[in-house]
Amino acid sequence: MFFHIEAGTVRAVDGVTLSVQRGQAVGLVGESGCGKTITGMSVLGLLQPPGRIEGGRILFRGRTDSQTVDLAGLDPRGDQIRAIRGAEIAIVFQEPMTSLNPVYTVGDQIAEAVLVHRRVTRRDARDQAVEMLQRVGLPQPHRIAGEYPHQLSGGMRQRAMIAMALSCDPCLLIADEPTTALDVTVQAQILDLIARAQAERHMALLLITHDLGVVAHMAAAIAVMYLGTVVECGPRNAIFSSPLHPYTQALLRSVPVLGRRAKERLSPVRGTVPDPLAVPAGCPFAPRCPEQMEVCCVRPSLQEAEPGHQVACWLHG
Amino acid sequence: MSAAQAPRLDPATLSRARVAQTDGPSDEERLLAAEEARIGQWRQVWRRFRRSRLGMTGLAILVVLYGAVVFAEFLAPYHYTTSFTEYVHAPPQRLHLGGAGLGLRPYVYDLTRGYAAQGLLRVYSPDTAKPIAIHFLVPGEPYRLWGLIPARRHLFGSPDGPVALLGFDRMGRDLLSRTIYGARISMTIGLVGVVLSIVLGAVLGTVSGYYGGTIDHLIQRFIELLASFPSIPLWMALAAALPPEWSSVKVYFGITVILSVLGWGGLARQLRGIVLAYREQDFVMAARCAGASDWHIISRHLVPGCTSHILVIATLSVPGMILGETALSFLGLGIRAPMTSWGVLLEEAQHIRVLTQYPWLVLPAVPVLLAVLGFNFVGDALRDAADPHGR
Repeated sequence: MFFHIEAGTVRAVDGVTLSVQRGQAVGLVGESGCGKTITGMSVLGLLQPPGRIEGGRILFRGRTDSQTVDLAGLDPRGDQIRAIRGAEIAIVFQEPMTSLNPVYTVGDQIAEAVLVHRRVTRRDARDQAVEMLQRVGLPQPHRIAGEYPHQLSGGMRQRAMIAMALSCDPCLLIADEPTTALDVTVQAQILDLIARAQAERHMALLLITHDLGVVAHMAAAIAVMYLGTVVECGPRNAIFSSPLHPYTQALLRSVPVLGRRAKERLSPVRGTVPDPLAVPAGCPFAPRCPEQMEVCCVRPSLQEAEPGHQVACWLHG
Repeated sequence: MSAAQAPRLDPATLSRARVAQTDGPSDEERLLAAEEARIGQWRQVWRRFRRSRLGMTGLAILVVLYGAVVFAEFLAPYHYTTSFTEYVHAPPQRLHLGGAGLGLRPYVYDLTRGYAAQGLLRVYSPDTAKPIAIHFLVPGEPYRLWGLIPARRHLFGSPDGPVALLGFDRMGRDLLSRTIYGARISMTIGLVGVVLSIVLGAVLGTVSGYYGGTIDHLIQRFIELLASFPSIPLWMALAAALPPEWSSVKVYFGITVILSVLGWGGLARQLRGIVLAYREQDFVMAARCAGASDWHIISRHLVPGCTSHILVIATLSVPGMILGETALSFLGLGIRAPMTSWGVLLEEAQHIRVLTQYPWLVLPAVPVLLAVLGFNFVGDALRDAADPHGR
């Protein structure tokens, strides 16, 4: 999969180049408001109006034998994209509290997701829902299928959401901050569950998060986003051990690490994110960059700095 | 990655410690929750509803009134067209208990007619020499219950003479019987009308709220247009347009349609507001992400989410319909004789002369009052009980 998007007059996302291979987990990291979620939603063709995809391509190849489609070119209300949503590309949201309809039982809602895409009887769909609940590690799946969302804890609800996302056996799972709203104790379990499901089904996983710990745990490859563009992407170890972009370096310095000397202070990223209406013409990070140069008034493009490790910075161009 | 590049950060140190299963509430809480789940949504609503005293009072009133609707033929001592020509405009007979050699059986006195004011006024006085014993489950005028089952037993009545606990009207018909039969029209016209306006209001309100934009704008302006017409002249115009040769049943449905066509606007408005709130909910987005169509989202998420609201709005708008029918019939534009409704009965009490001389003719206003109060009580209690987020 490959995308390259620009959206809206406020260019919320501009020039995201990212690819997720089958069976690969890619982490999309960045500060709040940098366009991570919009990137995820545009893959599904679900930008809220007045947002729209101005240009670019989102290439998606579903099952091994099917053709590559450009999702950006599909009618967002059409049948073709609807057949892909949920069945081929599934998404797990940040808020398990509100992503389930309070008036239906959990089992009904998962069965409903199955019924939308598969020609099965209601009873089969229901059985499958129970099976999915069991697979995501919920105890007594039969009983939980008959419960309403408010009767479950946050962690259980997120498991149910994952069960729903996996129920149609998608090839790509987009997890949009799947653990942000959860208790710390539950976060690791949910991440584990997603990682296991991804490995078992040989799914592609796009993990959207602002939590570097989460990507370190989960993703084989990482893309770092800043102000709507991908500034650096590469294998996990390369990003963590030898980050090339000054933004990535600053981001990693701002994370507390066990074992680091107490005297060393955390250094927050200098300055603030510019107004999206007034994005700098050149490198978007230039105003905050400690190593700003003359050339930074021209926008750098993603260049291969090391094999498989790309960065959009003149230091490495 | 070569060993020479000393890792600045090791991914393993960043990853989180795994914690043992401490997921969710305790076992007891889970059991309680499971218990509630088994009970189901509507059982829970009922349980909360039962706690409301006013709501239960309203429900009791409605049960009694609809009981009268269902068993009108049995409950009414006479048919609504049966007239006693000797008893025109006779007042209610007082109910007596004990004495007159009848043991504990209740009885009324027969009325004898006299004239006053040089024969210009009929006056009735109880004839204590002629007690009429009231019998229960007494055979009387034959009827067909629900037009099917032939029967002749009435709840009460007397083989000895006419019994009219609410008095007689200008054609000597028993007002109680007519009020009971009138409930049939008045109490059902509200329900049928509300069902029609709910269909209209729910569809247009949901569509308006869900799609927004131009569609929303058009529908809302149309509702405003409807609401800005003064309602009584509009009713009158529409009612006058019903062909006079129509049968009473057709007129009945015609009136229902008029009332609901003019009444759906408010309902559509309220539903639009609710749908607007629901549309922004994450589960709607989640459904869209799962590939659900617009129709699927409307029918499976938005409308069921609004069911409790619809039910409440419906309950609260039945009184409006009942009053509308009463008003129309009161103006002589609604139900026509020989059918009867509370409005038709009240029409007879229009003139001040009638009111001063035969005040009992206003009694059909009492069931109107009760019905309106009953529906309002039930609607209020239901609103408190049915909110799915109320817990």
